[in-house]
Amino acid sequence: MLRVTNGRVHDPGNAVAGEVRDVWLDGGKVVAEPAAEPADVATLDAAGCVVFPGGVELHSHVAGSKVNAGRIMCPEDHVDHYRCRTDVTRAGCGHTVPTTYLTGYEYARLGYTTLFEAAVPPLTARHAHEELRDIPILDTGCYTVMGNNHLVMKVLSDPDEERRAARLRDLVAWLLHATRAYAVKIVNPGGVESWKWHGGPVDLDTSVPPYGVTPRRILTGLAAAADELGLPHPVHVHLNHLGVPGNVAVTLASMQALAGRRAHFTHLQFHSYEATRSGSYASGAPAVAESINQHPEFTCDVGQLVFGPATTMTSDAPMEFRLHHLHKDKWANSDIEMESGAGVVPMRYSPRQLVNAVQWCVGLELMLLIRDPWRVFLTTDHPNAGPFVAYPMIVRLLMDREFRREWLEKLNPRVRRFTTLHELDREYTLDEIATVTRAGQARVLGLADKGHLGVGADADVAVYREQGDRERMFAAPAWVVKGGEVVVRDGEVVAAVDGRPLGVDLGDPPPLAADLAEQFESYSSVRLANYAVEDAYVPDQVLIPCAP
Amino acid sequence: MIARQQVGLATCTLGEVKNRADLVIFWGCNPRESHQRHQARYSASVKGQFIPEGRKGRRIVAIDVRPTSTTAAADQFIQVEPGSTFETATLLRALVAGKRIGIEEDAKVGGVPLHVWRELAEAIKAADYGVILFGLGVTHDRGHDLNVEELGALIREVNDYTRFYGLPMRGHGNVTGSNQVMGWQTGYPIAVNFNRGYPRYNPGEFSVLGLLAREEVDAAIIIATDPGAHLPGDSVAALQAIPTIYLEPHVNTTTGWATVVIPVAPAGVAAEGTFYRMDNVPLRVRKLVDSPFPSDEEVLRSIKETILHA
Amino acid sequence: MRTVTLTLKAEPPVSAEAEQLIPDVVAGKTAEEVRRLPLLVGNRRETVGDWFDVVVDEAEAAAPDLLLRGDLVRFKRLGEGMSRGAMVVEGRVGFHAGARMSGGSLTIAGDAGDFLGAHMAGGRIIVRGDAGHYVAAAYRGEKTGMKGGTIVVTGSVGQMVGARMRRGLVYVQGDAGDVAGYNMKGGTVVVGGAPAARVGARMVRGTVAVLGGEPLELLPTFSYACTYAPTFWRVVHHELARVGHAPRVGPGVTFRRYCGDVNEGGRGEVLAAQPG
Ligand SMILES: [Zn+2]
Repeated sequence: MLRVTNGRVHDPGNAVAGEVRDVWLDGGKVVAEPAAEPADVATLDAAGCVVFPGGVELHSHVAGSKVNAGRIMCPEDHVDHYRCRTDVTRAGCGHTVPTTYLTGYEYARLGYTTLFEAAVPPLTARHAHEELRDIPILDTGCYTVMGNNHLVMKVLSDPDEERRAARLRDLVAWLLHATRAYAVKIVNPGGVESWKWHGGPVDLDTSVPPYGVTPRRILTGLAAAADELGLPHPVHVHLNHLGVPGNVAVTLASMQALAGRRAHFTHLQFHSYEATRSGSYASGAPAVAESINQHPEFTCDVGQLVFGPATTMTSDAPMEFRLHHLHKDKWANSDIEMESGAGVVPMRYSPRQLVNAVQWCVGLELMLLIRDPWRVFLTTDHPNAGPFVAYPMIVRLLMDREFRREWLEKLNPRVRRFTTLHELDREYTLDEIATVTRAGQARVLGLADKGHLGVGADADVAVYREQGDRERMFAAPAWVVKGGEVVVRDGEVVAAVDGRPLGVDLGDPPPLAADLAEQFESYSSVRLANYAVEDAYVPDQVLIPCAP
Repeated sequence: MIARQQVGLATCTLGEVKNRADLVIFWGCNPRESHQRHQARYSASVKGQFIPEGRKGRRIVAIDVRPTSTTAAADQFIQVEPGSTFETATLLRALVAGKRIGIEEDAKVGGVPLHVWRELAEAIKAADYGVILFGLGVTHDRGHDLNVEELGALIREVNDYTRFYGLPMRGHGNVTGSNQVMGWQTGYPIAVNFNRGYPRYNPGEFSVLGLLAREEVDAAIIIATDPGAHLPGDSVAALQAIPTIYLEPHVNTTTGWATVVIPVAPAGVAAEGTFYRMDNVPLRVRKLVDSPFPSDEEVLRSIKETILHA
Repeated sequence: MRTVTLTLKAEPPVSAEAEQLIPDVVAGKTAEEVRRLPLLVGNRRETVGDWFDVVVDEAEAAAPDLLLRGDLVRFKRLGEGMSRGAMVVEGRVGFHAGARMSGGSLTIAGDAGDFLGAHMAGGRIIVRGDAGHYVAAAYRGEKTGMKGGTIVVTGSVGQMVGARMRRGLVYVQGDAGDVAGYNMKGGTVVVGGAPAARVGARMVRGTVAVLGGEPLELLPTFSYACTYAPTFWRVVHHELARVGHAPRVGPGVTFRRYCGDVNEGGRGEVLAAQPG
């Protein structure tokens, strides 16, 4: 049994806002305070500290084929960023694309205990699971990309509305089960397939070959399927036109199309740009934040830009090709048959670059303008907008408007003409930080045992020493506890326990419909019988129930 | 692998080749001998979703230094001089982009008249979805990884006009899987050194041939390869001069001289695991029969644990 | 003037990494302190004293700050990162000699391994012998190799001399292997003898000057531009004369100029000295 004592507990899920109280952990769970002092209790004296639930990351790119393509393509990212092995940890390297072990240690060192890989094409799902298993300490899961999937688009091309909804629901369940994934991911719906046909960027109502379905139908169809299956996490959407000035139009239109449905919009910073008269970037954050504010059924994460090196990697292959043309630097691409694409391009964001400065402001504007912290989450879309190791600094930016002001001074001065960040005075409270980094994320993920410290919650706890400098405070926790074991002490990993894979309990989903199975057998390069990920890749997977 | 670190590589899975590729260029490879089911499954006769006519729906070009059964079955065979991959890829880049070149119209490049390359450049741009499948004739030609880098640059630039991809025709078991696992565990796909307690990378310096040539290793563990058959004679001699531990299911040219041979269960027959196809698609290989011997993984694990607890 | 002299006692059985053997580190240290400096031999941390006899003595003004004696072919990273002082190696050296160096002078009386002066930013390297591949080049994945300084190799070099370099001067008195000046972004590579194939491949900017004359195996993406006597060459010649390695080809020689690589914008040049 472990007792965390004397700390000020911030557990927004249970409306505990900085009260000094003990947290008792036993058998991997938070337990009630025992009536009598137990014999074998270890105590962490958290006097002068804040006690948070373990951090929950709902959108990051840490495992799978495109992440590894990024690692392999960029040795220059690793050479000066390495960690030697210790008695408890393995060696690793990489700054924006760390090795799997280092990824686990670095997340844990920030107080995170749960992690989701945000984009896995079904065909390479085994690969993602192999890497997730090599990420120590954290519980992990992944999302399956479906927004350009041929079987999905074929089903959606059915003019019979009821039939197509029912068939799509079965297909989504089958795909999730086959990939042992946690949620439905949509990436640039229709846009990746369009690119394979040399088509340009798609709008909400562009008919996409070869099935003639529109992004609107893909979005609304998949959102409805996720809802009707009662998946713990709603459809997780990367919208069309990522990174393009003026994309606020398609963003707002997509939100309009999904109104009334649960939906999570990811890295919204990249989707909130007005176009200036010269076609350059201006902030569209106020309009987008307002739309989120008005729709309680929506959540989002921000994808905050971090100045310095980044590695962009997404299933949005056409977007990566466009990025590649900015610098004509290296570019990796992989079209994935019948499903998706993938691209990787290294990047460097600079505060003097007006575009990057605007993007940086847009992210913070969204965080500050969206009023409900339960519906906006802190991410960097790691490593697209920057590496997750920048979280402590971003927390400080949110909590400390003086610090924000200092940073604004370092930006390209023209940025004030195109954004409103300098007008925003809001400062996040510790409770709000706890919400946007764990409580809210766990809630929208439907993880009832994560992101809070009530009795029955997983014994995942992060203890930070109170300091005026919030960046230093959140960069080196005094302790991190995972599953009841102390894994980090004073910012260093002291035990590398294994995390567990997270999945959803879909029961026994119906088999793939005969016509889809035939289509698959005809055109895939693998046999249907060899497609589904075996149990061996997700040993002891924790299955979260659905609520249809 | 090395070339990928300079220019990246635009590629696709084999199912995309099957379903979409209307131009297939076999460059320095002979799949009809080396990857026997490749053409029937993915790249020539197979009917794809958007290539319903199969072989008739694809234009197939073979570039090689000598006629092979693959070149014989192609629509066009371009026979090049050995050692000219880099020059021809460079020329194609210029022709595709319409750049001014410094040679006369009647000149030859790689022993092939310029007009042939012009026609190929036009065919590449006219394709809807083209792929170059390249093999040892590219990677083992003069220039080695620079040839792949140049092909990578060509492929990348063609994407300004149409979809165009490259796929290495890799052989030798699960070499792709080895690259992937090394990639996620160490950050680098090959040639990793741990002398300092963390991974470092430098092909040539930390790869097998260089290390052996400079006699920089004093012991070796050898897994899933037969150096006696695949390495040059002086490398084999260097290995024979040091203690070696060899994990291998079969008797071969190395088992005779390795210091310690540990028989293991053959992967994919008597041991299960993940096989990464040449296009990086991970497949499950199953255990079909029982073997009295442990798997590679079990042997390595027990060596590691013995050392840790020594 | 103090000189630290290290004499190799025996050749290590595997390679060693000796990046702390630079004037910046040994300056001001006693012999005992130098002996205690770490030295990575294979995967073991040993000390300089395990492998070298160390003497620190007063010497005449012209003596180097650091003098190494012996066949150091198994020693990598000698002179790596040095920023000042003079270092002399009397013998062969391994990989990465003078890599990332930013100042001072490194003289090697013997052959050098691969990656000589890789990512060098300043200072001077003189090799009296041959050097391996990737002289002045960039490491894997990096965009830019040498960014400043001067390298002279009196013998020949392997492939990829000057690969991806941006500034600085490399003078190879002998021949160069394939793809000299690969993907150069600037700077100058002078080849006294003959380069092998693909000189200047993927050059963006910069100059490869070949003193051994034609024919050159140029890529089709290079075009003949003109024949001229560039002032640029006078400057380079003067600089090389200043470091004691004036090329035999005079400062007023004429060159045939080829521009390329057109695939990368065509602003690089390969110059071929004309006889007479
Ligand atoms: Zn993402």
